[in-house]
Amino acid sequence: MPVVSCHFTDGASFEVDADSGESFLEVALRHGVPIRNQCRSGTCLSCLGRYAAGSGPLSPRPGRPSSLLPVDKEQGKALCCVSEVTSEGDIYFDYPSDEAGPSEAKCFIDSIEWIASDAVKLTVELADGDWLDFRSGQYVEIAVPDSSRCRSYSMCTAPNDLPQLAFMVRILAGGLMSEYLTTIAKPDDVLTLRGPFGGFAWSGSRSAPQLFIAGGTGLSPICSILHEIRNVAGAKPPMTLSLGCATPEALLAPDYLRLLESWMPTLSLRLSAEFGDVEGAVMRGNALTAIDFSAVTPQTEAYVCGPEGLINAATKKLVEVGVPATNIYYERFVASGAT
Amino acid sequence: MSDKQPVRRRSQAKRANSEAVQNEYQPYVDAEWGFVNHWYPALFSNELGEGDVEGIQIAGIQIVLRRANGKVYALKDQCIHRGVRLSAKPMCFNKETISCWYHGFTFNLESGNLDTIVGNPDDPLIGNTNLTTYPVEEVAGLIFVFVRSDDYPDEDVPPLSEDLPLRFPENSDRFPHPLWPASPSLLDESVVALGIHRTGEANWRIACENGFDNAHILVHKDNTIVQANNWVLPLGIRPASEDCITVFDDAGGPKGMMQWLFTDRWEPILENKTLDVKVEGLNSRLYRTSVIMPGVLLVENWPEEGIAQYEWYVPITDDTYEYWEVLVKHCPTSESEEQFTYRFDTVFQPLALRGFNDCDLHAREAMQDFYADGTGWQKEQLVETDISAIMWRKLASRHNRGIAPPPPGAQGRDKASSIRLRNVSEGKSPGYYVEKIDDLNNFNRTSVRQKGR
Repeated sequence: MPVVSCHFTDGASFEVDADSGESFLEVALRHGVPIRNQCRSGTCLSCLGRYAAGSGPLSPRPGRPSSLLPVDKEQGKALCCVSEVTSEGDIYFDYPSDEAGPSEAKCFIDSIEWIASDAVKLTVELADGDWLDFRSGQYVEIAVPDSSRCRSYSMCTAPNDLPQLAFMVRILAGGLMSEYLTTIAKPDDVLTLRGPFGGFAWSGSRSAPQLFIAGGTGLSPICSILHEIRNVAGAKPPMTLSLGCATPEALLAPDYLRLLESWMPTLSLRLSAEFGDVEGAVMRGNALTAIDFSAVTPQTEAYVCGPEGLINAATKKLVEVGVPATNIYYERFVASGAT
Repeated sequence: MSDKQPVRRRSQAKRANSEAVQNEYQPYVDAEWGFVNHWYPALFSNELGEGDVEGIQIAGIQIVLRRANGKVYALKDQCIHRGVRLSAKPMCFNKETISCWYHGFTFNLESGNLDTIVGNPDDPLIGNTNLTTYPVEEVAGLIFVFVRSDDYPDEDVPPLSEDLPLRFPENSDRFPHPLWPASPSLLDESVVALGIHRTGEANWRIACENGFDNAHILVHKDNTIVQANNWVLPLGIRPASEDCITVFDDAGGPKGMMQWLFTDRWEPILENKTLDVKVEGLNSRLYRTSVIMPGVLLVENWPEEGIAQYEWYVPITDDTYEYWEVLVKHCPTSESEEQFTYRFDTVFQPLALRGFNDCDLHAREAMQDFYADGTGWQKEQLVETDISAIMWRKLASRHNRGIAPPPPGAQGRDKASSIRLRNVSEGKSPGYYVEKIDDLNNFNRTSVRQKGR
């Protein structure tokens, strides 16, 4: 059987061995090749591919009409759905095989606001013509202007807030990005993002209890996931968000979190501080002491985001009460200022 | 490609919007086009006879309704092929399907699946795509549709009762009504519902907040029904207690709030000495209002004992709503139904639903421009009687099942489309129903220029 190599702009290529007599699109899709398609009848041009020269491994299937012009065929364009394989060769597609793969985008700073004693919320808007798709829970690298360094930050907004994105950023004395954000950056300045990265994401379950455990700015990707759940159609799962910070002043955007709680009837919020004067709805302790683990069921899906110590302690507690390790998702946050 | 493209900002308008202050009830402020994933009245049953097809729009979603073998079906009224409204020129070859009159795409009424294409029965798209369907309930002569986003799962569709007012006497202990009998519910046996619906030109929220605004009754001061009956309709009713409003949000039940009017929790104002204005009426006309998601008003004991007035302010676009006024009464015998119908035709419709409530339509329009560009929500200066509106906004922010996005490709998104302007120039306001093609061989709307002398 002749072998056809399918090439995508991200460098990925797939080999398909196929016989004539069948639509190449059908064979390729069966082999898992991500060729875009819609009508499958030679009309809509979604499955368009190109040869390096005027001809290639595919030939039009007899009796199948196509919307290509004669000049398209001379230039080596083919519609996979109405073509069949007649020889070995290569075919190229003008898009990446994995559309969620990392890319670079410019953005403008909209605002930088203090949301805690040691954290800001950086809000940006993608530049005209630039785009960056992501799943809630993922992160991007932001290049520190006038340096060769990058820092990683998780979005606290959801994909449907695009072209706007926001990040909760911890401000560290002497940190490269911290210095930039607090002394130099101003609205309308341009930043360069690269991403998305990371596999921290919502499981998609709308029935299993969802337990979110955040330490400090580990709250950022969890906020993104909460926004996604708020936007999803249908019944919402029961959710608990436990945020722990060093002091009550260091709690991130508590007023906003309380608003989220009032807009999401199935969300309950726990705020804890380890030191300082604790009062009102803020509890003494950390993100774990605020959780009644005896009430955590094995069906629970847990999301832990913060420093390594928190992840280890949370995982230990969760496993103890019967939550399988496969139901525990975590994202490690390290102070990048140190590296 | 050595040329470096300049980095440019997107449009300023977008940014201004995103910088809007987040307030306590931001989701409500965002719901310009209404809330989705809720039950709304679509038509009166007698507006859709056997075999009939009608097209409407709710929360920016175009919906086609068809009655086949007595059952009402609702599908998205936007063909998956090229977006044509199926209802503009109904074409049905059998009782199981509806076809698009343009290219013959034929959809199953029950499942929404593309069953065939009239002139292209072997196309690979057949069986592989579908139109969104909307669950339908028909009660007491009203057709209700669950208006949902395309991805809302079937299994999460709540019962209609979750989006209708509280029922009595089940709730009489919780919300006692010593001065009038238990209010009838649309879901009760032997209930008769009579009403009207029409299009109002305002945002649905402006309309909805009018319905239970205890200071707005001033607009009704001079209404015929009030003066003819010598009713005591206060100049206003001010909150006099911290528990003047009770929120109800039981799981599986309606989400709303009850106003304890004509109890000591509210003070009716009958005189303003500064202005030397006095209510002169002699006969009391006691009532009480509650509002329920997604914007349903229940006025108990109105416009007379034994009757309840229901209202809906169903969003059509961001600046039009379908105003439903329905009177509900228990009529266990055909004689009592006849009496109610006669009184509806001769008194309630002309004097209450029209005369009295026409004032509300004027009032909502008068408020529309202030809120239309979004700034009114920040600029409004509120007083104590606005407690009702603010509690409702917070409640709606919490209990809505989804915010309708500005609809892609639907009527009314583009305020100045050529078709819209032509309709207006012909005297047809933007409205609720589809514009049907009724005279097939005569497209007589445009002037025709003929050749020759």
